[in-house]
Amino acid sequence: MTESLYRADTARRGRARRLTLLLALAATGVYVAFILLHVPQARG
Amino acid sequence: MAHADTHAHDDHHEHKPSGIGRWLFATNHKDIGTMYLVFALGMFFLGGAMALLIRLELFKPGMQYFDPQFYNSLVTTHALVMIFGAVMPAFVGLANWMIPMQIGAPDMALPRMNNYSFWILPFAFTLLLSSFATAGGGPAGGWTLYPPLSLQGGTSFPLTIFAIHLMGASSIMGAINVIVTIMNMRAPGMTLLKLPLFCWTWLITAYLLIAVMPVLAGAVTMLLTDHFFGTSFFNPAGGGDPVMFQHIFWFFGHPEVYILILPAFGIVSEIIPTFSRKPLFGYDAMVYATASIAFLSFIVWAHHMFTVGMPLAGQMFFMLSTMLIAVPTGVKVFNWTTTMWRGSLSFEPPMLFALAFLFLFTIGGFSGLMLAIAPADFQYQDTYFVVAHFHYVLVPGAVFAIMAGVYFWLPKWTGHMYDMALAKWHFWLSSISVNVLFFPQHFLGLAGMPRRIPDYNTQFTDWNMVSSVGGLVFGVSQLLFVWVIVKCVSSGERATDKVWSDAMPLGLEWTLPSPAPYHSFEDAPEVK
Repeated sequence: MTESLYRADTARRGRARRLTLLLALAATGVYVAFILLHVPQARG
Repeated sequence: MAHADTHAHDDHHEHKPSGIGRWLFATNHKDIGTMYLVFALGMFFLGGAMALLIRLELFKPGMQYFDPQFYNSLVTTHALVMIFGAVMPAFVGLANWMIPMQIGAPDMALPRMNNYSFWILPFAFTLLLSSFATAGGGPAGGWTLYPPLSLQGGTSFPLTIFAIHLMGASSIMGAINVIVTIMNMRAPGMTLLKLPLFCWTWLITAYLLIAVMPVLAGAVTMLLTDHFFGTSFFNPAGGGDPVMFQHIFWFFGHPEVYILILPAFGIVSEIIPTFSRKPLFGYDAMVYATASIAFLSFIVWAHHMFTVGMPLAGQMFFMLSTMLIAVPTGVKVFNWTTTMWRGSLSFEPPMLFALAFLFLFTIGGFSGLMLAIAPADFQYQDTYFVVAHFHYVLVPGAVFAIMAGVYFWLPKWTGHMYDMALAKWHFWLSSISVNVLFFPQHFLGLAGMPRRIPDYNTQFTDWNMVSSVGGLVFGVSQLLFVWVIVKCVSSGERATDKVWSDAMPLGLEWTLPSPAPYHSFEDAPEVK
């Protein structure tokens, strides 16, 4: 049902995909950045 | 607001999957919302049982029933279960049910991811709780997982870390879903400043989740590598710093507090206008106040750690920035109160819980202000005063708001009115006993009783007994909540579409029939 709505509206489906990707990348980026930021400290 | 032929259209599409597959492979937002809410209720009772065991041990001074290690495990898992298993999933459940219906969308934007994010949770909590069966018992270092203590956790340690990673992944997927749904699936004409407040508060909460859950995941990953792979992020012997963990943890932890309370603000902002029969006072100000609270939540984290030793300038900064949060919060309390001013008030169960929220959350806010004062915090740090503070914010705050929301929307979900008299009994028993439970803990804390200790000096006996009796009554009275819901699902007077009155509430969800059809808003409504 939701999919049919999206099939009918490719622009909206594209926007949703881009936003999902962006948010997932942002979350991954924060995770990796917070660990890398502290690597120099872990090395002593 | 929505066009009128919603009912006729939806009735053609009432087919539902059947059997266990309906729940295992669910992509319908209402089914997934129900699963989240049932899961949260189960976890609420599990975490509540742990709390009752804690209060049982603390009923009298001296060691009564448990060894200190098991007591510490109870304290740790009570917190993790209540935060990540009860309150957060309950809000996600309400979001799943209500956000598509409030914005006129047929479903969440990412229904399959919605399924994954729910089904991760039972596995995460099985991992966490299975650690009780391992050598050394469950995690006992506190939900804050401070090293070096948490690193000494034995087999429970990696299980807890993995469970937290899974909970974080679930929360992030849920948050992405909420954002993409609200940004992409709104009905034509529903501009951002026409969004219901519940959607607004959830939208902001979802951004907070995406910003800080990876920080927690990063912190526990570093704990994991310190324990198993010889790194020394938090080990001074290798150049690390255990205080750094506290900074990272609370950079997640303070926004987390607002993740637990902003959706509650949204629910209360829906309920108070309905039962005051007036529109919400200062809608725009409410939106901006929510955004301000979210922003400020990122710059106050070190007020949790004044006593670790920080420069005076640091203490001043974190003290003043924390106090600044009282401004947007005050705007909200003022606007809720002003909404009621000269309103035609009625006191059905959702309104009663919302009013209790207003009074009791404000008490929790005030004790938070006391804790924000750095020199005073040196006295309060790690005492029962802190326990009283955050339980006022989370129990008559977040939990009461969830109950208010359930009582508000339950007739829309089930198509039945519930037993009002029983629900009012639930309210009065809960709100009296919650104060008997937590208010004496302020006195205990100010008198110097430390938290997270299974034994105490005899001078603290009386108030501990009072608190334990309050805990027992509060716990037992929650059975009424379950009974009201079960009765409402199976029977009860038929609910009308508007449920509460013809004039209020406003909003697209109230244009749907009661119970809301399995598939709603297949044709987008027009919002004027």
